Amino acid sequence: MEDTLVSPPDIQIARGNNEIASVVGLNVWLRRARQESHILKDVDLKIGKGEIVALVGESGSGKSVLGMTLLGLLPKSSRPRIEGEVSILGSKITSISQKELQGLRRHSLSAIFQDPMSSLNPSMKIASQMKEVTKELDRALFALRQVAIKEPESVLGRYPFELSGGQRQRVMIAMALAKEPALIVADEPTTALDVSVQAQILYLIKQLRADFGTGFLFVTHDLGVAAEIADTVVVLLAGRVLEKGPTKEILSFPAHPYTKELIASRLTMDQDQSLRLRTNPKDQFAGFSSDGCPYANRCENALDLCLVEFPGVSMVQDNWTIACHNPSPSPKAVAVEIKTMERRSDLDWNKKVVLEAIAIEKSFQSRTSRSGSRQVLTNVDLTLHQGEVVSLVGESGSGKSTFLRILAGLEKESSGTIIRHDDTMPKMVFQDSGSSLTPWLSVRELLKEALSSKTLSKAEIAKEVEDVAAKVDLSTQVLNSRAASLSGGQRQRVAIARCVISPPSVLLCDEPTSALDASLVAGALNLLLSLSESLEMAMVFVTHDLAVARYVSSRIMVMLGGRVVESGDSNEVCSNPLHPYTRMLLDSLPGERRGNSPQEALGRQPDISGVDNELSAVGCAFANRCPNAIEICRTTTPVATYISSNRYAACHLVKGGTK
Amino acid sequence: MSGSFFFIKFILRRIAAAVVIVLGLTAVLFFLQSISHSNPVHAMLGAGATPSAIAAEKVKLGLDHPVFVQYFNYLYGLIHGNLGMSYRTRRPVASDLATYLPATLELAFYSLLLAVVLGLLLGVLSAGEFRGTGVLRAILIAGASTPQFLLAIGGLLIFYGKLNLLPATGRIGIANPPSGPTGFYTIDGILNGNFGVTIDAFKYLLLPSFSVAIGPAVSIGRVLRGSLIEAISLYFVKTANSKGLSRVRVLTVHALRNSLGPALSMTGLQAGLMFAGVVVIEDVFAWPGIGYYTAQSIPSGDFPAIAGVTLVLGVGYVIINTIVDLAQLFADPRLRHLEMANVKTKKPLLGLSANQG
Repeated sequence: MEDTLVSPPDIQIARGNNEIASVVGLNVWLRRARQESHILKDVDLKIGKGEIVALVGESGSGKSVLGMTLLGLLPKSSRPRIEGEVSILGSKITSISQKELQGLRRHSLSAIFQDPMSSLNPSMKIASQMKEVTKELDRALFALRQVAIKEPESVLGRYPFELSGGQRQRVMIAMALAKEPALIVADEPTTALDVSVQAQILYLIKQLRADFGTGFLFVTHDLGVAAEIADTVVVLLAGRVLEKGPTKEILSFPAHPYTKELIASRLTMDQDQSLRLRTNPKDQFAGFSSDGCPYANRCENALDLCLVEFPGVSMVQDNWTIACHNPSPSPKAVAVEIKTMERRSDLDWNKKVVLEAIAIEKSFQSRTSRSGSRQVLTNVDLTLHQGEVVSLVGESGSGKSTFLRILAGLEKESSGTIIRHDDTMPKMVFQDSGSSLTPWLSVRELLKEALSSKTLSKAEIAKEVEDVAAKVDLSTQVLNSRAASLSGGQRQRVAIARCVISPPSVLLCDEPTSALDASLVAGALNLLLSLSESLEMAMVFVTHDLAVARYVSSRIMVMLGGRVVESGDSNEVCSNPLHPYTRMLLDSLPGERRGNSPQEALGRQPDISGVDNELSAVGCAFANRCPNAIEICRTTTPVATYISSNRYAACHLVKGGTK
Repeated sequence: MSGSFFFIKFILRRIAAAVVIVLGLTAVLFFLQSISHSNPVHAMLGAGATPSAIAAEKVKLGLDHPVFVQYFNYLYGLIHGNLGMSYRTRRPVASDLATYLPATLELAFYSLLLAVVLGLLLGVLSAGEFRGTGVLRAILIAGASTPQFLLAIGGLLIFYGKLNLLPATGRIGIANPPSGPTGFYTIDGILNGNFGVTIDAFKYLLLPSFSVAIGPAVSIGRVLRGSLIEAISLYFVKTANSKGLSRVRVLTVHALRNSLGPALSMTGLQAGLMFAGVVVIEDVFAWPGIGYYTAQSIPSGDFPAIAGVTLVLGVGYVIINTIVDLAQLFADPRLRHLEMANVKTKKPLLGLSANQG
């Protein structure tokens, strides 16, 4: 499993020499919630010319703060206090003047931020924004061509809102590159993008550093992305560097228990579906110990010493260090075997149908197009059996969330029929569960509220609340605390508990794990699956992550441009995709080595011609991007072709019959 | 995308809105008049008028007709540019307004200008955490929390009564000031080469316009500060910082323009409220504007005069909000894009603010 994380052998850049940035003994304090908190602790880091250093960590690990410190852009409102040394190209940015710092940023430092929607000024044309970096138009055009922007001249005359997400991120990168900086701080630059666009952007960044020798500090929470792009990985937890060294070695043979957990909790395409996901056997919601090793509370190897004293740095190999008192006995990276989870595909068809959606269509009144309406869903069918889990996957804008909202009754279909074979309405778990809970109510009140439609006595209500809390593993302490004081993982559990306190026959999940840290995803998925089994609850799972879809569901429906382009058993869809679009999605998964040989993996070059997610208006929506497209694909929309009773694809090149 | 087509449509819609507002306002006024006990003819003819004389005068004024007929007669006159005769001054309301309106407009214009400038200063300085902003904020907020008339009277006591720096009442202290072409003494003075008039007019303007402006200034400044602080935390401002731009450029070019929307909405709202403030302040400073005119018309039940003033205020409100909306379109290209699309798809558009979300 760990093998799949290793990046293809690509351009090796000599490390260590030509140092462009160095951080020595860095401590940063920021004021948060009226308290000064110690965000970064004794961080050491070096970035060489043309080196990509990935800074990996969970939310709250301080990785973005480190990036901002390098840029000298810590928000003034949080009264930053910095100790230690940060030097870029030899100048110590902690002691130089504001003017000098601005000069450094003007000439040698750049940044790329996460959300391409918000990192460009919405009311300035691209040309004016580029001009702030380079006065010469030629250079702006050159930079735009470097990032494979189609028709750069016309892009210059547009506003950011007139560009797609991928194009905006390219413009952002072009802007960062135009001054040919020595160092670019990239803070989660691909997190908000579709996997297909992410693959293009990662490829682009690798090319650019090879061409220009730019160094990158690449902040990411995704080990797969780090594996794909970085020369060096730095693992950060609660402001401490726990492990640091060459990507390939660290990801193949992680030395620190925390790195091991990070890698083990990553869901991959090889995950055995008959097994529960491995979770941290210690309390996964345990906080960080502040004195000793921040991981001590969650670490299986923890010694008494770990709780009181942060370990010194020890060398594993050249350029590879860890900070751990007791790294040797590796945690059992074996999944806990369970027997209840059966394979479902042949069994489910005999169970009763709980929900049917027939020929669902949806169009929205458009504000920007002349025609006045925009077709979001076309002829989508779904039959859901009791206890069955179906995943909807696809890029953003494919209509998967709209379909889910229609199933939930939150949105009205334009045409088609929804048949609910049962009295209960489906319930929905949202992506951002934090904001779906009223912050000043206690968890107990929130759960009671979800019951209020029933006529129950006080004692019965209290009992129901206790029962559901036990089911989703919420302690009494959590029950009594307010929603605002919970961690992200706990909030997600409360959101799930609210849905199942009076169990629906269908649970709809909209990207329920994409806002969670990697170490919490496994727990959340295990919980959803065990609830689905014990309550015989069917689930529809919307996700952009094929590895998650493959693991949780028996059936996957792949959506593109409002249509289902492929459907079938989840294993078959993932191992033997019929539609070229599905294949492209699979190929874009970061850190997964598709294809059989390393050569094939190396030769995998995403199309960076700047087509992005453009859908073809007539014919197959994928025709623009499809490597196999033939004449008919551009003129006629393909209909579903069945290769077996429950496996089909809408592609002109797939041979088979109609239903 | 044709911009001029869009703007013509936009302006036409606003004119249509103004017509609807005028119809509504006059209808409400006629209704109020019909249920009020005021008897303008009695006031006109004096206490000793005979019932027959009163009846004759009523016929002459058309007041003997049912209220609907009166209303349609009024509208008919309105279409022909006739606002009727004032019962009190016995002159056409239109010419009365021409006399009193410029004074009010001048006061309102400078008050609004002052409110916007102070609001901008307050917003930008306090969001940028520049030195000394606290003092400015304290003074402005203290000013805003004082009732306007008290502020005006306080100002008079200090700057006129104690220090004798500024004049107390009226619009100008110079005899025979220029009577055209704009009706604004401050501008007419310059146009006629008589700078003494301009300076004197400003002296008279200072106290009343401050009294009117401080409240709106604080409202505008607070909204601006809020949206600026929000904008500063957004990524495109971080991007601008990462380009190595100066603090002032980041704050003005990047943050300010993207935070103008709410402040502009607030300005439109405050401009409407400001007219109400001007009426009170004109009374305190004996400013010869429409506030003063209205204050005299109400006791004598001078219905045509009151209706004329109301119409002017209503139309003025539409004009100010149109200007504010155009300014918002100018500041935000996304809004422009959305609005143009709306016009094209023939979606009913009632004011831009509904589309801002």
